[in-house]
Amino acid sequence: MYYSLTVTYSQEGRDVIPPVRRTFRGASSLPSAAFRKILDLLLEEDLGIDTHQVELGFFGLEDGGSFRVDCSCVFEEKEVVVTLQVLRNGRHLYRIHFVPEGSEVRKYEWYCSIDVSPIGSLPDLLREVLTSVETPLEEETTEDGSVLIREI
Amino acid sequence: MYYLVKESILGVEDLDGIFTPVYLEAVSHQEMAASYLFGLVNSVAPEMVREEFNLGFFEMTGGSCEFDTGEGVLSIERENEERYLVSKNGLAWREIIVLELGDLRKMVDRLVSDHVGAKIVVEDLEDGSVRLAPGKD
Repeated sequence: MYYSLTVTYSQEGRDVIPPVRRTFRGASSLPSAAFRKILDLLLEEDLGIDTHQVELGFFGLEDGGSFRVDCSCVFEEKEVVVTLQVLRNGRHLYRIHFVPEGSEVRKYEWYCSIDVSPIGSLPDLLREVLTSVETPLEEETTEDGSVLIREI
Repeated sequence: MYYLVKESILGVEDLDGIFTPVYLEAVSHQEMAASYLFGLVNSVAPEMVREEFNLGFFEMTGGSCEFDTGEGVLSIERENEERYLVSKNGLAWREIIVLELGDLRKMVDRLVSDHVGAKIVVEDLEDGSVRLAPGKD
């Protein structure tokens, strides 16, 4: 099953333009797709957060629940504590929040919401992905489940 | 030939970002840039016609051209064939990056790697079509 992940970033209470970034991934469930996206975001931030702790916290979440993981990182040559907070609102919606400790770095506090929705099989996924291509293309699903794309 | 166009917002402190990239077909970098930039200029100046835009864009001197939108001046600076900077009334407004991707197969490869966090196997077929199948992550 493939899932669509729509990420909305905010910083200092304002939506960052463009407000949404949509990506797709294969996973066994909605929470699993969301978890893998969260790991991607953590890797992008390169904060050295213990991903095993995040995994334990994430899969222990219930609807409306949250957990926190602290880590320390070097920010402008000073070591600061950064707290990652993950909130779950149903199986579809997650919010991750980075809170650096210390008044000077608090302005770098940011969060994002991750909205996960099921897309379906490979042909359904490609139909969504191909919306970024403005040249008309033809798709055909074969008996073995693969998809053929050709120029019209 | 397919191209990837990335449009970034400039000049808004803390709100810089990139719009969803688009994948388009054209015959050259310059044609691709002209096509995309015309859309951008036209969004500000709906009365602008393609011929008028092309005249300014393809005959730009000193690496830049200007258009009067009726509500101000929009200028396009060509840094090289891949990077264009657009200013509105002298203020940086948009950056356009035009990247050459290649044929349908290369475009689909790039599209999948940009948007899909799952393994997909992409292969060429003799009839010119591209086959995609789920891969193992």
